[in-house]
Amino acid sequence: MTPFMYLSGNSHFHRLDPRYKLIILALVSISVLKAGYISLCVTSLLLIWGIKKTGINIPNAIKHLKLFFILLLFIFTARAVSDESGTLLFRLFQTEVTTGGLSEGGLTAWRFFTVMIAGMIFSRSTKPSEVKSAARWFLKPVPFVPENRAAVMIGLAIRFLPLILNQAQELSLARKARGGDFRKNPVKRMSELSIGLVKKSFRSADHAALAMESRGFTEDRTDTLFSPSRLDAGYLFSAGLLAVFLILY
Amino acid sequence: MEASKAHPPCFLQVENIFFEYPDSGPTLSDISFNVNKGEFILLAGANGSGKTTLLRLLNGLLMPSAGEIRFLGEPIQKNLVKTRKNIGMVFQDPDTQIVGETVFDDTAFGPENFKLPREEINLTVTSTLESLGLLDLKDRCPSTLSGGEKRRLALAGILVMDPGIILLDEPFSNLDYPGASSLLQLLQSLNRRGITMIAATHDVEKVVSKADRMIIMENGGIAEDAPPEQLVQSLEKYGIREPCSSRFGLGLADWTLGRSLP
Repeated sequence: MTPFMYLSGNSHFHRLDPRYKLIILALVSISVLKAGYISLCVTSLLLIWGIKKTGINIPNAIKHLKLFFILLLFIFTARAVSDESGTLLFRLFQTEVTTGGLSEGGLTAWRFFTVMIAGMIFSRSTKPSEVKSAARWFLKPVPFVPENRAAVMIGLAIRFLPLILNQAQELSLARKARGGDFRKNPVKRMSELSIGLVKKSFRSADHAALAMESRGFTEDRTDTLFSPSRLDAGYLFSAGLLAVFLILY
Repeated sequence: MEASKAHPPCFLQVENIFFEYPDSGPTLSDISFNVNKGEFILLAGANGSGKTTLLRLLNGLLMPSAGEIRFLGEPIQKNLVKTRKNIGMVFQDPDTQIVGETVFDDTAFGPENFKLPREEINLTVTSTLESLGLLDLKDRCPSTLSGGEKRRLALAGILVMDPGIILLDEPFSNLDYPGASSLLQLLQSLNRRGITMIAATHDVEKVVSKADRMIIMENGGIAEDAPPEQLVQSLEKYGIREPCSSRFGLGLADWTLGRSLP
């Protein structure tokens, strides 16, 4: 189970109206990109509280975020060597590493990390069906956008992504079992894998469409009932204040 | 709700249906049979004999090129909503049938399509999941379930619509012994509650002792239609393996030998 999968619970995060949660996530994610060290410290403390409340297993999360940490390291390095403000610390292959560069690199990596953790808390405490319903609610007033169809597509994408990844893994193993990984040409290797995967995915999509039809699928379906409470409004207000704080400090 | 099997009323009629896919020759030809309420029919046949196509026709997913299928005297294509509600179909691969992001959401998919009120959906979904022993898993992502649990979830998605007939396409494929055994017991108990079952399979061993009737398909047509006891010894000429118990002269013994697994 990845830390991004929904886990049932009874925390405030779980009980929050999904529309409010989406707005809060958007507010925090956008404003954190302007945040400084002080406000990032405060946000990180709040996120640690969120991690605790939503029951995210930290060692498991670190295990699943390995690739993300590599990306963060890349972002940190790129930012550190591209900013030449502050005192010169050392030279590395004709590139100057300065205190300003390191500080900027650390700040950028921390901001991205904060957004990732906020997303993790959101997905851990929100059912994909709630995300789908909230998306439908937000899209309803937008002209020329079929909100029901869009919501179903979001739901199916969430549902079938793990299946497609599983299929890709199986195909890759089947290739390896027949010595496919001895092939040197990466384009050939990729095309062998992707042709099989596309074929399988289309077949699965065809079966899924039939199965949905057999269960009477229609776009005019029962809507999700939203019941926002005062607490939801309180959280939204607090998130607004946090966003201002993040931008200012 | 104990079904009366003495003189059950005929409620599904298949009359001289023909069907062909656009890019192939005739797939089904001149298929006729009646289904009585509460029957457990085993639709047996080798791969490619037309079992899945026939099930899809019965569910209204495909339309016959000739002939008619009637449910309670009414052609099924006249009211597809009613057809899909009354004749549920469990597909061979539950992974493609399960479309919800959680067990609860997937079970609610059908009633939501029929625009039932949310409170009613919550009640029926909860009671259906409870009856199938899935209530504890209601918030689980379906991809994390075992094969047997996925199959039960696929059944829950159909049962929640309170169907009169359940069509099952290769219900035991990819299931281990405990999964197949518990599914078999579940199918039997649903049949006892009066739900008509039509199970299509090439592996008759597991289910043959539960069936009231066996229809054998061959090359898109019906080759035999009789009680299983009468047909079981002639199965191999249609490319279907004769059950072990019959081979050893023990008749049609229960596949689980009456053992109930945890």
